[in-house]
Amino acid sequence: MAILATENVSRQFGSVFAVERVDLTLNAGESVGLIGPNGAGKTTLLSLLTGDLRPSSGKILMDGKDVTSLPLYARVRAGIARAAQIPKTFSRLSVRENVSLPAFFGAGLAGDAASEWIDEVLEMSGLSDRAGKQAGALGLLDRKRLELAKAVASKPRVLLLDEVAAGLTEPEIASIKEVILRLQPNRAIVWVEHIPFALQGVCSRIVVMDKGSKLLDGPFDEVWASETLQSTYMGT
Amino acid sequence: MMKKVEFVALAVGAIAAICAAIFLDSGLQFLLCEVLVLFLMAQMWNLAAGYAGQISFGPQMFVGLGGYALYMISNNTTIPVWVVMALVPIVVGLLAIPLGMVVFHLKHAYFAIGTWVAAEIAFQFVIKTPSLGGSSGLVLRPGGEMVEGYPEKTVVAVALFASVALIVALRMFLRSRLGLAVLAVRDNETGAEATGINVRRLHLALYTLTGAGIATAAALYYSTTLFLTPLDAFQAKWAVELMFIVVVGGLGTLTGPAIGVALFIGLREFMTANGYSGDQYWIIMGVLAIAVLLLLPQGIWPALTTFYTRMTRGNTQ
Amino acid sequence: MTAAQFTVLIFQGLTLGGLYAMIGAGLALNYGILKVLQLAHGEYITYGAFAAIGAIALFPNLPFPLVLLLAFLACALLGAAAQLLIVERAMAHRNEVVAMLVTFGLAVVLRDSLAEFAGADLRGLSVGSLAQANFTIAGITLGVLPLVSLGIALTSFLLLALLIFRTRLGMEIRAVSDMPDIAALVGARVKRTHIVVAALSAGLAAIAGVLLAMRSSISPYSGLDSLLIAFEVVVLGGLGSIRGVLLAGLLLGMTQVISTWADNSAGLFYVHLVFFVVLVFRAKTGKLQ
Ligand SMILES: Nc1ncnc2c1ncn2[C@@H]1O[C@H](COP(=O)(O)OP(=O)(O)OP(=O)(O)O)[C@@H](O)[C@H]1O
Ligand SMILES: [Mg+2]
Repeated sequence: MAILATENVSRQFGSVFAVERVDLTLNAGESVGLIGPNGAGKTTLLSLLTGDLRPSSGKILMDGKDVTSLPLYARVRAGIARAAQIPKTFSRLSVRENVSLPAFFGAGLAGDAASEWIDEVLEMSGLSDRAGKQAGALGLLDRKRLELAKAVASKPRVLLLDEVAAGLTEPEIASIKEVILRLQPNRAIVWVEHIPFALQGVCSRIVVMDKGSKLLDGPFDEVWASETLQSTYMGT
Repeated sequence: MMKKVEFVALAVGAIAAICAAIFLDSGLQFLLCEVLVLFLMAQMWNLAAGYAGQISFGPQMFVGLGGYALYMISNNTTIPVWVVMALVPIVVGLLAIPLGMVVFHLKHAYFAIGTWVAAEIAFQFVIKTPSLGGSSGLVLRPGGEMVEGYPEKTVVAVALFASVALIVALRMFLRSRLGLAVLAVRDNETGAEATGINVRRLHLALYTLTGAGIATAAALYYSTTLFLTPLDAFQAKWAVELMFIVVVGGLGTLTGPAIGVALFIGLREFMTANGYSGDQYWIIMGVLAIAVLLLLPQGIWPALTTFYTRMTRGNTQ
Repeated sequence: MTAAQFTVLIFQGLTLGGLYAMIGAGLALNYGILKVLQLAHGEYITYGAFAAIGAIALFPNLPFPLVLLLAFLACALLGAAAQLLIVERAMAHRNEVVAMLVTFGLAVVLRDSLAEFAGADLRGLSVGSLAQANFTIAGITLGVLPLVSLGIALTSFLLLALLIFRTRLGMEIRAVSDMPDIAALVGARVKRTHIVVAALSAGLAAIAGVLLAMRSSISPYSGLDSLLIAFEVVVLGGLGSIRGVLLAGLLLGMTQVISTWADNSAGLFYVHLVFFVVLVFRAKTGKLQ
């Protein structure tokens, strides 16, 4: 059974469809790259999955159960977490406190189990030496790492990544990618990114969106070679 | 976990409470009661407004509920006043839950105004209801008997210990998981929900807790006045005073309200002693509030700590 | 209830509603444009009333329109000065809580200065023979004073709407309200507009104060009561909408008149209750922002 699925979901802002009649199925352990031009509706689709936004119509299923009206915090506890395009770190709290919150409230950990897991996440995301620092004082790369670490710390079964590599240099992307590869075995991933290099080697399947609709959905190489993709991006 | 200093603070607080009950004269005890009650309430309003962002113009709702709960239960049952005092937070807390569920549909300015109107509704309701004493209020007669002796003797001790205990408890709370959640919500509300925090429930819990706290402080206060009128209990004056104390001292800090209360009462006593009128005192308070907000918008205590860290850093370089 | 009683009730509701709308008008303007909850609004209302009372005490023969104008100008000046010297600086912090709390300090200073200066007594505004004057249509006797009061309120609303929607100044005000940063770029004088709006809203408050003092008595400590009514009117009307304010004022005025008719000891209980229920209902159905 699919771990997460959308059935015909749409989301309108005023009269504009940001997401229109999208069916998407995600199986356990699968990594999907989600691509499409600016404004295609990728972030909106992720927001529908996390519960930040409610769909105008359609359903969202988790393990076959309808979770469409489940609030944001409950979906985090159920195992959906996102690293947002615009990092939502708590600037007045320390890096460690930032990571502790999802470990406590998302993953439901306490005591030694919590602190061990928090240490592990900090280690994995390369933030151990900055654990005591205020999050507001971090640079871009570290803020992106922290956003990723926060998502991971809630022990999600579905990890949604929204442009976690955007704005980074190639070696920096490689270091983020390493983190993601270490996470991959146990969980499904949906990764939105404009940079093919980032998705390569992580995502075996690619979904293409444009103007709110899903255009293509298939194996990495097949989608990459398709003419529809070329025309979507070239505007022909 | 309680730290050593907090344990010492509690012990010192207990000793000071006993000393205050034995050695102070009753005029001073009455004044101290007022100071401590205002401090307790200000700390509660501060927790709601400064930490949870719930700026309310209606804390007098809970002042009134606390006072009326104390008087109604004491006068109409044989339960001793001190037991009733312990029941007040439970009774008012239970009332605060449905109330909170209603007012939390409102946000920001709507919330502030809505809570004020809710308090006004309670006020008008009491005035209209003869069994609650109507507009003339109630006299405290536990079990139908007049109160004998000076209640402020015991109340001052309880209020003093409660103030110290509250600071210790708040410090411990802010170090706890739940306290961390509160700080996260203050920093970024949707971000906090995305880490799995049930923000609505947290808000409701804080609203209930601070409401029950204000009610308890009010019950302490009205147990020394021996009578209670709806006009006094439900008036917006309470909101005005708490806002002054917290804002001038430093919103969202634990020390700020203490500084605020000291200034607020200290200045009042000083000016009355020197023959100034109540109106002149409030003019000075108003000017003080404006000046503090324009020059140090965070309040006095945060400004002092910033100044201090800058000084010490300057010295080490 | 007879048809005549009903008509009288409706008339009373309308005139009280007009007064309530007037009490909220200045606040709506201020909040709509400056986005600051002006907690000194109730004091401007009181100051308007006292300006009129003072003017009549000094010059008993001053014609009423001049008294009204005098109260308007006095409060407009006060509002402009407060905006220039205090509120504008607080707004520079770009934190609406700080700005709101500053106006709260201002309210206290104004209230107690007036009490210190004029004493704490309740006062009314005597309008001579007008107070008793009445007229009879179709066997129904109605007072002239409430009608005059309603007329003043409606005229003020009309003038305000004309000013905002039909003049250059109004255009500038709307531009500053919608997008202050862009308006500044294209040459709108933002600070000047803020001061004009503050003056106008304090002036409207003064008119409300005069009407209030003609109807019942007022003391330097009446500000908070007026502020609460103003808040209710503005919030019900949808923050910052002129027409909404008028409708909200009428709703609350009607509620009070009818509830007092049905229950002698109603006070403001049902007014607050209606406000509260409508507010929560609108919030629940997502009609508030
Ligand atoms: N809160 C909102 N209100 C109104 N319109 C919105 C809102 N959020 C998104 N939109 C619109 O929905 C469309 C899809 O936006 P979305 O952010 O999902 O695109 P995206 O694919 O993530 O783009 P990008 O690659 O730039 O991040 C856009 O036209 C955007 O303007
Ligand atoms: Mg996006």
